[in-house]
Amino acid sequence: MSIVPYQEQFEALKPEFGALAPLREAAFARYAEHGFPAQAREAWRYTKLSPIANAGFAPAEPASLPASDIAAHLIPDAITLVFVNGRLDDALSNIDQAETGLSIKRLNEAGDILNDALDLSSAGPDDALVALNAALMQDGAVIEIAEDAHIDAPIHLLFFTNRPGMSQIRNLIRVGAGARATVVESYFGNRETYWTNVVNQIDLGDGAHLEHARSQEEGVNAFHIGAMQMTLSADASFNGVSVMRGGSLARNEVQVTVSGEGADCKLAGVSLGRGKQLLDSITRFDHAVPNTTSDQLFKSVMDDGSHAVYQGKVIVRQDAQHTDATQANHNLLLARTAQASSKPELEIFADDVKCAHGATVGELDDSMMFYLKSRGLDEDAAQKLLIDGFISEVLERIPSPEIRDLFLTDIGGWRLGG
Amino acid sequence: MPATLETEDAIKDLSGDYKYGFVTDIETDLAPKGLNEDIIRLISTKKEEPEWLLEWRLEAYRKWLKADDPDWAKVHHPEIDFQDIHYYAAPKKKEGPKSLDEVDPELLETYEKLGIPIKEQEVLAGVQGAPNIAVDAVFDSVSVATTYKEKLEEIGVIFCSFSEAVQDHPELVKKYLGSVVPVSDNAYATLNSAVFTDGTFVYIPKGVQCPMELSTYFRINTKDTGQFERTLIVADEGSKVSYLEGCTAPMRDENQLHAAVVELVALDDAEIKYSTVQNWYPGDKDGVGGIYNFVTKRGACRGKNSKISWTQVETGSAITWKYPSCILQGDNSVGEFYSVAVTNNMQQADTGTKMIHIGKNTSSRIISKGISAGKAQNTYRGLVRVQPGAEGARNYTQCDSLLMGDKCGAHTLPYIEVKNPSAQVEHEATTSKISEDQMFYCVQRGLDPEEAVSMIVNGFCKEVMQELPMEFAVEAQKLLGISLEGSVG
Repeated sequence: MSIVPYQEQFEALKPEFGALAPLREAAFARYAEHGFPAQAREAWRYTKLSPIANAGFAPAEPASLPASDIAAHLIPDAITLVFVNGRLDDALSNIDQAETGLSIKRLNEAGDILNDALDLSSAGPDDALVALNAALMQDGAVIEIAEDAHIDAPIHLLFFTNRPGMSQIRNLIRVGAGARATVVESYFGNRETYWTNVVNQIDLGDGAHLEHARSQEEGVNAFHIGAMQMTLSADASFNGVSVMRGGSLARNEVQVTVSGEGADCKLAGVSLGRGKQLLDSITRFDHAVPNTTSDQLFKSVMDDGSHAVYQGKVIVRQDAQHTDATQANHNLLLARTAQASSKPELEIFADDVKCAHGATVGELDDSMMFYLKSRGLDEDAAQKLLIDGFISEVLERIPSPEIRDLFLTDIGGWRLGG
Repeated sequence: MPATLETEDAIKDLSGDYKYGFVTDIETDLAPKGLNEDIIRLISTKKEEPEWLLEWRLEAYRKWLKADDPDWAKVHHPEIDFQDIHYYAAPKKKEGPKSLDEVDPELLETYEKLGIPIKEQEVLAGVQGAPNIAVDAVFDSVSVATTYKEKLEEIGVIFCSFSEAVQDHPELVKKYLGSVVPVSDNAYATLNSAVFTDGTFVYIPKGVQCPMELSTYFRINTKDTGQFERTLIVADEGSKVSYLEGCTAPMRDENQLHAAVVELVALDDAEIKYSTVQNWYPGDKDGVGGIYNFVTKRGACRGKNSKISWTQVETGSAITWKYPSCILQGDNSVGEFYSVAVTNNMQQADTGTKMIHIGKNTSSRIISKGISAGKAQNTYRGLVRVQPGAEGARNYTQCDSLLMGDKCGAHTLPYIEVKNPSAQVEHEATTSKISEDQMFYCVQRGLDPEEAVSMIVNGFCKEVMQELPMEFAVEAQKLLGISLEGSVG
């Protein structure tokens, strides 16, 4: 085997592998077969990974974090897990909160579950970093929600990085039949150059429901590669909202397999770009059975020389009659050098389906600006109002007022230059 | 048929024979199979070409040897054996036919079977006030008759076979050949550059509005000949031309490769309208035989206020791989793409367009209608790119797919890349089937299901069909019906 990036890191971590050694070995072999995906690969055509491959990040050093640094990002009454530089910080977390039917384990306590749940057999060349994550994963949350349990408190996973290096995070969320839960992920960091590679696996049982919100506000020099792999059983439903605005290069990939009849998957995202950021959203919704629905709404507001990417794919298999899938992507460019690339893709093998997609790219509407100015608003206020309106369509999909407000506060900070 | 019956239940295999499947028996001048530098020299010698063109071909050939076939399209076919193809076939030359009387009567008969006789009066019979159509008939690789040429010459329009243009207007050919589709564009275009045998050349001089629709008929006739024609249309400042291209091919069991290149150049204020009806042999219902149609078509709106409009009705070919595109270089230039692609049985189509906005205030419009029946796969693949300098660019894209049957597929892959905030780009797409309500209504009014489908499909495609020149519209509407024959029982 020729040397691939991160081989040294893999060798260095070997002594800590324990029970997961065979899984990690197999995952690394799968990764090493392909290496880092090249831009020639369709799914990676806009994302250049060579800076990450060449950096050869070592695991970020453990460090402490003053509680005051995260206070502003906490959700009241939530079950909070704080990870600092890729490892759980017990002092800042409150896992102990008792909720019937909820089990939260750290990655290294959940060897059996992981051995059972992680399936890399279908990981192809595009999923090489998912495989690398399975080989190098340092920490993460394994969350299991028992059948019919309704977990009212949001489960908040907060990831903070303040040292250079990489964090390989793996979370597994299993929602049992008929159960309900809310999971929030937040990513923050300082100005160090670091790489967060996070993989979330979400399995929803029959009739399960998950509310999911994700806020990515990594530091300006960070690289963030996120992948979410989700399976929905019969009548399961998912409602996700994602805000992406951190990192110099950030990508969030969502792969959904709708494998049970009556399942419904809603996913909305907004990217807010400035500087030279590349913010890449990529989705793949695979409708494999009849009578399922999905809805995607992705928006971007791009300033300076930033670049928004949306590559969305809906596959409707031959048996998946009566699928109803929609895809919308709207991009707002605020500056001369901002850019947007959009590829809403439909791959349909069944005839009795309703599938539609729409995409737009443009700047703020002149006539709307004129209207607001004629009512006495100045340029900035008018612009802010229009951008707020544009973004709110996505954020309104978060049902919890506390979480929505937290996200809105953060976005307010973006516009002020934070 | 009971009107309540599900449309998909009514899908039946297309059993009708390909209406245009016949082979004309004419002695042909055939080069041995295979491709090497000697064959290219032979083609060049046969066509009495100047040295620079031979060099150009040889350079293309060398590039082709290193080029990989494009593999990104959603089409599947066995690997093409490029050494198993005749690269040159010409009907035995008689002394330069000057009028139709001198043309091989068998050839004329072929055209008559096609439904559009070469005699333009007959084409226009019964169509009052219709414009004249000049026909440059391409039979296999060599143009055998050009009509109305003299009339066009009077106003300075050059409309001739590519070979003639190389002899008579080398300066124009040299200036524009390969300027829109570079030799190394893609492997099929590179191959074409090396081995093209004939095609059409059109030049419209400054300020001239071509008074008639120019029309070419391409046929593939000799067994196992790939046809590599080359079309070059140059519209000089302030000129205007409408060009029609129609294709049918005889029935064959072996797959035939067709790799054409079409280049359009529109200078300031010029307008080119290019219409295609493609009805080559699609193979039988099991997918045996049929044409591989791998065509590179591209237009450059070089001048300001220029316009290029592509209209295509694609019903034939086993595999269609083509993306008629517009490079909108000139300020205020306009690109249009109207397409209907019908696939039935085992046909595969991967088609669409590219609109590259470079100049200021450029606009483009894409209307694509894909219809998929039987076990066919129909893909729209398109790119709208707005470059940083394309201030005020505007694009509207609509691609709709209609599925008939539960074994077929319809795919939509639009790429949108915008690098200028003042651009306005919109894309919409839908996928649907013929609804039971629509069928019920039509059948209840006394239409049989086949007529109903034909009517609904024609309605679905209306926005594209009305862009076709009238001479084509009638034929194209019939074609839609024929192509979907048997897809409803």
